[in-house]
Amino acid sequence: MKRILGGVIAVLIFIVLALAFVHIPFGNIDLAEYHYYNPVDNEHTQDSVPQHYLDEGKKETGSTNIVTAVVVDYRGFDTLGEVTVLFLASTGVGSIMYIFEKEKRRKVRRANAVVETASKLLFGFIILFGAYIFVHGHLTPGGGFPGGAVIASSFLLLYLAYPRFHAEHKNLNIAESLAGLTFVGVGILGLFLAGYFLYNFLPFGLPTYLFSAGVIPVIYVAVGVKVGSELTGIVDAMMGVRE
Amino acid sequence: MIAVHPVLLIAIPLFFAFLLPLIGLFSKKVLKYVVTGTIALNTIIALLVFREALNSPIFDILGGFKPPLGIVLMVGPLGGFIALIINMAGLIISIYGMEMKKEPLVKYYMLSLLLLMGANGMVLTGDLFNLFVFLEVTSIASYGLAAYNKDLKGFEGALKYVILGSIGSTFVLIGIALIYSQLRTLNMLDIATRLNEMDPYVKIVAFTSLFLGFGVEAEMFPLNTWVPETYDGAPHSVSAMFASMSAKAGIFALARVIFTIFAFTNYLWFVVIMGVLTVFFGEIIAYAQRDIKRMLAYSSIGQMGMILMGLGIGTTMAVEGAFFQMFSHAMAKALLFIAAGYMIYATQTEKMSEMKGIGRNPLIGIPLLIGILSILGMPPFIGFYGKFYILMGGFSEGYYAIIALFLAASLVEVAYYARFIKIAFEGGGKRYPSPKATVYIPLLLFAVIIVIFGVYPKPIFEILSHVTTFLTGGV
Repeated sequence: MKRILGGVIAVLIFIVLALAFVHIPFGNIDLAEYHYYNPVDNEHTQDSVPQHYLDEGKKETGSTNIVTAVVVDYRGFDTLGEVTVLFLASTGVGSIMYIFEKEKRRKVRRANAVVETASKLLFGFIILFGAYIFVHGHLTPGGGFPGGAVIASSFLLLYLAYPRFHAEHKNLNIAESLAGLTFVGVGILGLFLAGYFLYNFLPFGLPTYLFSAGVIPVIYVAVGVKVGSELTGIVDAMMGVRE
Repeated sequence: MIAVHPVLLIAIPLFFAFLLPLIGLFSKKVLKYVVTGTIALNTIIALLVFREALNSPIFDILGGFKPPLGIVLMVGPLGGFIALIINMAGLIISIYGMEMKKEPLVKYYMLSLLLLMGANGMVLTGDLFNLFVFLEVTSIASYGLAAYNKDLKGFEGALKYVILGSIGSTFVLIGIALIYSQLRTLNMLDIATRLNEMDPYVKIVAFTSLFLGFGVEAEMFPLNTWVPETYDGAPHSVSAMFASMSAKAGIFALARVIFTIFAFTNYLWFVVIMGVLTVFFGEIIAYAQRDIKRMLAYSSIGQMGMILMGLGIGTTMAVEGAFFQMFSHAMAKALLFIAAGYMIYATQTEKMSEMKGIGRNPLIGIPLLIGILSILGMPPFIGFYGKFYILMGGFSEGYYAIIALFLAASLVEVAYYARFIKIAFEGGGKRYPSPKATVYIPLLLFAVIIVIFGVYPKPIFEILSHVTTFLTGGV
């Protein structure tokens, strides 16, 4: 009975949402009818937000990658929130998985020599690749989140290859704290220098060059380090290693 | 130029939350003072922001991009008021939180600071997607805190909360996606002015999704099944935080969705019916409880339902009542949860029947009595005005059936609280350990606030006179 009811409700919700999504255009649509309202200055503009990002994004943020321009600059505050969400997830897992005494080491079987050697060799390259992704976040697809995930995957590889391996939790915590402080610090610096939180106060430089887009690379390096250390910390906590 | 940036209310707790692990490396003893100091600083800033917002709404542009392009914080008098309540309650609860002994302390303090930050963000933001981000921050911090005790009850509550909370967030996200896809904007006021361009069907689905999503956080029936287990299983200070911080942020977000974005000005039968059901089920199930924290949790559901009713009736008077009720419930329920924490600690049991004579110690008994009477809506305390105005709002519009149900539920409320008062003040109980300063100071602070604004509610009513602009879609 319960299952049937659940099924009926699921189908109903699906129908209701499907009927709504029928009305939704994908991609950009005709802009003639748009007039945007700016509540701060109380003025109406003909500009469209997505079109503005595409047309002016490079000029206003200095970032070649428009997705990065939106994620880190136009809506940087949301990214700060998302970083905090990940931080919370790692903190929450750390607090729930907290073990008081060192557990007896389980008997583990070693991985074979091929896996051990290969993962040792690959470890450095994967980290390098992850760093490349977040350092070039404002130029190429990618950024802090995927870059950090790649870095965490290199640690995951070590966990799989060496069952007794565990990352020093203290160092991970220091890394994620410093990275988080950098992000908030950049924001507060912007507040003091220009009067806007998270203001892009560094010179933009030339687009398509590595040193361009002002604070975006700084933020993305911080995000990359943070995501990498947090995901590693989550993996570590899940393995039940004491802090 | 803005004198005090509201964004500091979010940035400061975040900064210190990131700093705490580093401080924890050197000394674990200073952590609690750092946290209380941070929240005290935040409360002062909240006061300044609120004072400024009373004159004119504050728009704090983030990143230097004008609103439809970038994110803006939008603080009106009511938002400033709720933010002040949240920070003040957080400050007083953090004094009680100094009691916390269970490891890992660093994580506890980090999570509680981030819960405060998320609740602040939900109240202050003027951007719909940003609201979602802060909803996530608040709810994920809550999940971690709910399971902090690491016992079976804590895990059960946290797991229920995770499941319902994630479904709620998903609905919020669907609602936002529908709105953005049609209007290509995320700014609340921009959405409000151009709402007519939306397809009517999509508009209704979007509103329903947002309403259901925030309803989880606002403890609305039938999405509140997580409440009793979560409040029961969480550490006592965390239960107080949930009742006074995250629930208030959730209901304020709901009020924003109803009035600021969708600009409903008249009677919203849907919201009222949900409110009445919430009140009714909350209070009746609370009557059947034997454990103190579960009873308080169900009573909390009932109170949130009353706020929802006030918002749904939608006249100026009823909405004023709803905001007053948010204030009084935040204060009184935090007080009761802290008192319950002490009582459970002193009697080593959660059963109310075994708490004979616990209130005979005046340091506990007097605040306890004040808190309960305020929740019941007795005249010299702040709880009175909220209930009274909601009732009057319904009465002047002629919703007699709803008023009757409301009063019946209030009677049930009186019955179970009176039963508890009788046990708590009965003679012939055991001798209980006397409370520590970290217990009775927050209790007394809350009690003083309840009495002062109960006797002299004029300043609150002056703030609430801004409800008229809020109802017509202003900040």
